[in-house]
Amino acid sequence: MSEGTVRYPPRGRARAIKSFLRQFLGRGGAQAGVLCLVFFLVLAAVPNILVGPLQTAINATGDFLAPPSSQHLLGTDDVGRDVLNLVVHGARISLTIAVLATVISLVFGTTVGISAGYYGGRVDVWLMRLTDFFFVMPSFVLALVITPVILEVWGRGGDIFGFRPSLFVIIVVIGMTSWAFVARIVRSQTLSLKERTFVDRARVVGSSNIVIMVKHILPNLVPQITANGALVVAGAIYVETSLSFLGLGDPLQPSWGTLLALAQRAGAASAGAWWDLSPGVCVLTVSLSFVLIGNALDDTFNPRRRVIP
Amino acid sequence: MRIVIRAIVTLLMVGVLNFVLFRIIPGDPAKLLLGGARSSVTAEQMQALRQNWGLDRPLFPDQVIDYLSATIQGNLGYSFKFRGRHVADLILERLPATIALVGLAQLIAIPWGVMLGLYAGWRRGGAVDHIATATSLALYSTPSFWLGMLLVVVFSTALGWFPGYGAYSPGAITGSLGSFLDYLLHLTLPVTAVALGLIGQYVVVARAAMSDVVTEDYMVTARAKGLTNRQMLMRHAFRNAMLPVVTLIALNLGYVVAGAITIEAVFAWPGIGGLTVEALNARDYPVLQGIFLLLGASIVVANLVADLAYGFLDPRVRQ
Amino acid sequence: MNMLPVNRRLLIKAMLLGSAAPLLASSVALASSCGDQIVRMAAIWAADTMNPFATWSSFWPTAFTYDPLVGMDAQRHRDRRGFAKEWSVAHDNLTWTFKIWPGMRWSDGQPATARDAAFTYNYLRESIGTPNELNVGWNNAAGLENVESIRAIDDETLQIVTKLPTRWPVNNAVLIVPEHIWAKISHADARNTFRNDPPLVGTGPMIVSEFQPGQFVRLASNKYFRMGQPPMAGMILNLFNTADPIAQGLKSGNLDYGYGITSAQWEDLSNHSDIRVGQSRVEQRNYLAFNTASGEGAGSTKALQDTAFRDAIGYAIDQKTIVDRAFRGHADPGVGVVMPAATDYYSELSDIRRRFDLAEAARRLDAAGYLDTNGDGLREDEEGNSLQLELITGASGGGLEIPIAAVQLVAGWLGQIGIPVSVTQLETGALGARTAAPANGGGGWDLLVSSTWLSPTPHDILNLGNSKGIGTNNTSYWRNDKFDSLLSEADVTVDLAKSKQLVDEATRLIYTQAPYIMLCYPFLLDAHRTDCIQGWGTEDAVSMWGYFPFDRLRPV
Repeated sequence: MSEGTVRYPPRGRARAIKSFLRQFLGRGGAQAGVLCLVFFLVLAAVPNILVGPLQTAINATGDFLAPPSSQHLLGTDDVGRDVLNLVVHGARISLTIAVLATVISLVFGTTVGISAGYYGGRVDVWLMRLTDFFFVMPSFVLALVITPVILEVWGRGGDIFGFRPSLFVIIVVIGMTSWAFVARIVRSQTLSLKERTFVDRARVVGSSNIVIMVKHILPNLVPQITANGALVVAGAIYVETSLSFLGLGDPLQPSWGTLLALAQRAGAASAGAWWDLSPGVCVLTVSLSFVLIGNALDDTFNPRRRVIP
Repeated sequence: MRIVIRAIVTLLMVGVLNFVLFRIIPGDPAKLLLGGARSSVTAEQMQALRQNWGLDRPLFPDQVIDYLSATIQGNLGYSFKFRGRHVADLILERLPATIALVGLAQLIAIPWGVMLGLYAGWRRGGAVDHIATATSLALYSTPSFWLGMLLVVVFSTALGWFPGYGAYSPGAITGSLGSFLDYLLHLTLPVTAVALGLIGQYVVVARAAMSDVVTEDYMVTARAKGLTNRQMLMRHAFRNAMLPVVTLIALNLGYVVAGAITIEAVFAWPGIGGLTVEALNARDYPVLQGIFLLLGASIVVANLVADLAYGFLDPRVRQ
Repeated sequence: MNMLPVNRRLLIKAMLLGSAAPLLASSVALASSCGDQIVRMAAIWAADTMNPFATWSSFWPTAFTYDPLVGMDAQRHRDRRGFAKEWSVAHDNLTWTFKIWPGMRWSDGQPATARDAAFTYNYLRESIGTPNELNVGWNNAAGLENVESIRAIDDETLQIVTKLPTRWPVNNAVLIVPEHIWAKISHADARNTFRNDPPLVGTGPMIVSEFQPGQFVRLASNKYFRMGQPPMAGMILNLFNTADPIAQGLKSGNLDYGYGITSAQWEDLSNHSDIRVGQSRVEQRNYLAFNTASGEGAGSTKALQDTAFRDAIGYAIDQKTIVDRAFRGHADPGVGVVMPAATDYYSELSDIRRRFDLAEAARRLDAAGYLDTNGDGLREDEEGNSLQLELITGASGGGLEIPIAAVQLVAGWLGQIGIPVSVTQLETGALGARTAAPANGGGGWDLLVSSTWLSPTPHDILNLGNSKGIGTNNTSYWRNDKFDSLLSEADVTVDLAKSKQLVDEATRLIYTQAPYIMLCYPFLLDAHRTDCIQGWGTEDAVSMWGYFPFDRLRPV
């Protein structure tokens, strides 16, 4: 990352983006990742058009745990719902949870990371202790503690920013448990960036600390943050699946994790109903796409380093 | 030394936060932690714990200090679900099964994952690299419990080769050779599920580390000096590439104690992870608090080991 | 590459091991009951202590070791008996005489007499009113308040005199324990800390000899059993958290009997030639309860306390669909508080039965004043707040699991009539804490989907609405004086026709008041292997009220 990335003249910037895209999309992993992702984004965007409205226990018509057939391409679950229908509708919930959790995690992680790296000294020590702690904290403990608090504060009624409270809890929990990873990376980058001359120059001109952090350091962190953001999304999908599998999700919302939890409870594995486990393929694919994209982004920004921790 | 102090501070923070977290939950802590509404913990046990933890005194600093000192003495309270049994006893009872499961998985995953990863990184672009990288990335992105469910469907339900659930056959006679074999058989699928996930992780990291190393200047210098491939690998690349790998191994060792929660749930494995799920469903807060403490402590210790190992391997950090 | 040779060697070893594994698997699987004559059974069960005074959840292992005096099985089947060989009641309906088996012995060889039975009942009775009242386990003092005296006339004769006419002396399920062991245990210890560690001393066919909490209970056949030592050498009761290991064990031949399997596994097992699956009516009732408490512990809206509101919701529940979809037909659709297993008392209630009709439910809600005035699609209560109900769910201890699909259905229908529902799933323990009496910190929820599994006696049938049972069996916190008086009258009625009439009246009352909507009465799904052991029951393979058929199973 050279200093030049900070200020591009408009035309130069367009050229840089174009060349970046060419490099990025030139990588096989990135192509595969982006393709898969687009596919799942389409599923999440228009599930009703593709497979009709969400099937619930009420309007299910299929047989119980029927193997795949022409009528039900992925078979049916233990209540007779079409698994394909559930998986497609689950895409929306799982992806929304993952993306929003990542936003929380990036905002929080970046703020803590920049502050720790920029101010240094005691601020750094304490913020990093806090980060260590959240690094250690298992998400299920946080879920357990946060759930009753959020429900108490907002009440169970209605929704929070358009989400059912139980979904909101999952988003917050994943956000809170994944920011520490981002904070560590951002901090180490900030440490080296703040020694650069353009920061000194800004300081001489009399810019305040906040201005320097937001206007001068943050833009240089963007490549790092995007590359790691993709990895955080992959992790978030994974965590959502695990939390829901442990029964901490919303049993009425067909996220991929909840679907797997229901399959487990119905004894699908011991009855040999492998098709009921297909949400796992989606988790695998989406998570892998994000990992590939993150890798390719990092390779493009910084050919000599690989991101995956 | 500074690393050790840092670890101790984090450990204390885990203790304090453990204390705070389970008091944020709405409701009377005495009721919540001592099961006031339940009959399974006796009045005497409750009174003893109330005194031990000083629940009638101010929250800070008295209660925190009392809680920490009780915890250090090994008094983690009494379980709701398991009828007032000591939390420490419950955890110790489940520990062997978890260590067997995750420990064995690590023993398998470390040599395989690291060797494959280093080789793939050394021979970047080769056939082994392509296959290993693709497989390991896929494994890395697979929820391991789902992998476990698939293993059950294939190897237990369909083929019937391995038992899919539990740690022993119902009715196996304990202490015999047969029961030991039976235990190993029951271990096979869960260990495979955990190990595959770990192998994915190790390959990814080891490969990245090795391919970082091979592009370093000193490797170019070494080649210029006329060293053979093998000499270069052994003298320079291997040692340097092992740095991040050793760190990851040390970090993962923390989970040998903590268990693989979702995997244990899938396989009905009677370890710490299984205990966690049971306690989670029963909202057995004292047990959860105990598990969290164990988890926090083992991860902090693992971090410490990682830091020390890093310092030992990398002379630049040692100074 | 110095790694390659190592790899190759490892690979070969792994391949060798891998190919040997199926061989090993089959050799271990051979250790089945055909060889050692030990009955292997499993259930989703959380036995916690072997002390029947301290827990509800150890019924199974302790019921194989101890006898009840008479109990359900002995009244239903001539070839099953408990501690008493015969019994009779005098014309006043107050004085009961029980003939104890002559020459019966405890499993430690000591004589088992009427004195032990008298001791057990008096031990319970003496605790009444003390701080350590024995009311927390299977052996509890409920019903003993109506008893005037219990005494052993001689070693073979026990006499119970009740204050009022009641069938409690034969209906109670108290397990008779040996005086020479329990006389030393204080009430406080019996209620709490006394763990009654194995080997136990009982009169049943199988005596608990080892107990590993969360894993298994091992039992050995009782050589002093009054009908002669049972043919099978012993039993192992495996305790599991989920049904998967049970289905697997049955298939592989490691288990002889298992219950609590899911309907998917049941269908799967029914295709197996060595396995016979069974479904039987049991006394479990799955219900939707409203939190009718006012004041402390009340739900989020006063609507829950309004009969018209609850009645309207009754029209939005389609019991038939619940049975078909959530239970795959393995249940009877819910009607009133009487379950079909209580054949003497069950009624279809056809004249007052609510028929599923969402439009009718909506009409009734409109008529009762729960309208959507602000047009957000949600109905509001009288205070003008949009309705948003919290439903908590989970199976009661020892009960059959309630499929989450049943809850999805209920929540779905309520959503369709403008009452959104959020769902929280809880395990037995947490559920118990939330459904405790408001005075004990329970309440605060709105709807509950749960279950009870009690005896088919009038008292237990009507216990759902018993104001004395608030926080234990009456989870809706509902109070009704008329209902209470019908219940207490039924408690002291011995005549069956009179008893039926009282139960019917009470059932109709609670049905129209609707503190509960019965969802269904699930069948017990079980399966047993037929290749090693014979002598299983014909109607139900295994009794849920005693140790039948474990006293008479024999090798094939």
